[in-house]
Amino acid sequence: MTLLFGILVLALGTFGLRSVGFFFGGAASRFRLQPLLALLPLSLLAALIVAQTFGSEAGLTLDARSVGLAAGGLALVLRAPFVAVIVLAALATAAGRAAGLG
Amino acid sequence: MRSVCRTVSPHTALPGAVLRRIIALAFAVGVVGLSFGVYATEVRVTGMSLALICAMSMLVFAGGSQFAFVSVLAGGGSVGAAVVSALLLNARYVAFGASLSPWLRRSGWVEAWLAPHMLIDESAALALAQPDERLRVRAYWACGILCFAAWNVGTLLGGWLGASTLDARMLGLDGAVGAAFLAILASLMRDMCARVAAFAGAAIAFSLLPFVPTGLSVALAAAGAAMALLLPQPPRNGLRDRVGNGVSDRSSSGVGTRSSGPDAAAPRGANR
Repeated sequence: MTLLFGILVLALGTFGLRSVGFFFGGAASRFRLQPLLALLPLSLLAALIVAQTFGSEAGLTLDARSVGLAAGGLALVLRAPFVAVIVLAALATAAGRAAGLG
Repeated sequence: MRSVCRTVSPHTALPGAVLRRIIALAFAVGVVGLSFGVYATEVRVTGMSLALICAMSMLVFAGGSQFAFVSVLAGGGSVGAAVVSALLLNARYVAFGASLSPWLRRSGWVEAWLAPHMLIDESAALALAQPDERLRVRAYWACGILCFAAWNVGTLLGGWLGASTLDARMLGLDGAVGAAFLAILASLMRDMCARVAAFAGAAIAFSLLPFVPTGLSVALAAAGAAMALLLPQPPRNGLRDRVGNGVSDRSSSGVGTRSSGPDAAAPRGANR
């Protein structure tokens, strides 16, 4: 497989995966699966947070990203606005990394 | 008739608060795109020109999978292996697409073809956090298009400027993305069902991550939503009967339009 061909396959495959979801949802509404679809984002977002924060080549790791998430969580509890949550999390992650947390 | 309450007039554009969130997310996406451009050019995979890298950002538009694709090649893997590992990462889009489809399916054919391509974690999460169907559609498109622009400009700039630019890791943006999703998740935690779905999803991801590729473990976490549905349900003021067809009561309580009044449309921390 040449590089260009590989990229095209990846592009088509990704579009296919995205479209399958849209199509499946249309079908799901006929089978009264909407309660499930409504809860799906919650499970997925939570899983995404876990993968985004603790995922690594080796499986699970604890590094500067966890510090960032903790700082973001704290900001949320203190009812900071969305943008402040992101900025604080980024700062905390960068600080943790500068302190050698990887 | 389709949603329990309409909280915006037909002429309302996106509220400023939502727009600010979209711009913040697009900025983060742009910086990650920048670091993708830098990474993809600096690892010097044979045949990977800047044109090809930019074409990939346009045609694939899925950050994690693009990094995975290049890193497999850089590690000496075959193109086939790179494609497979990148596609596994994108398996989660099936589930995200499914949860968006009730609101996005009825559009013209241009939109129908473009809508799936605008599906990234950011656009899906932001759209689903909106209280109203119309806002959801607008937030999805605005976030998707802005992030698409930012991602591609970032890739081009990164590939062009090279390693001299700051990367997303140094700025701590990889930690900030998780926090952004946490903020969105917090605004969706309306009832017990939602909490159970979130915790189950997180637990599944935790336990699968050491064994399964990242994207697949996120996709499989969708089972958490099914677990939450197995909980015994308290009666809900007959809302289910009133809504009838279309959006059922739990679907509206999960992602948006349950109770009445403008306050219900702006859950804690959702749209500030």
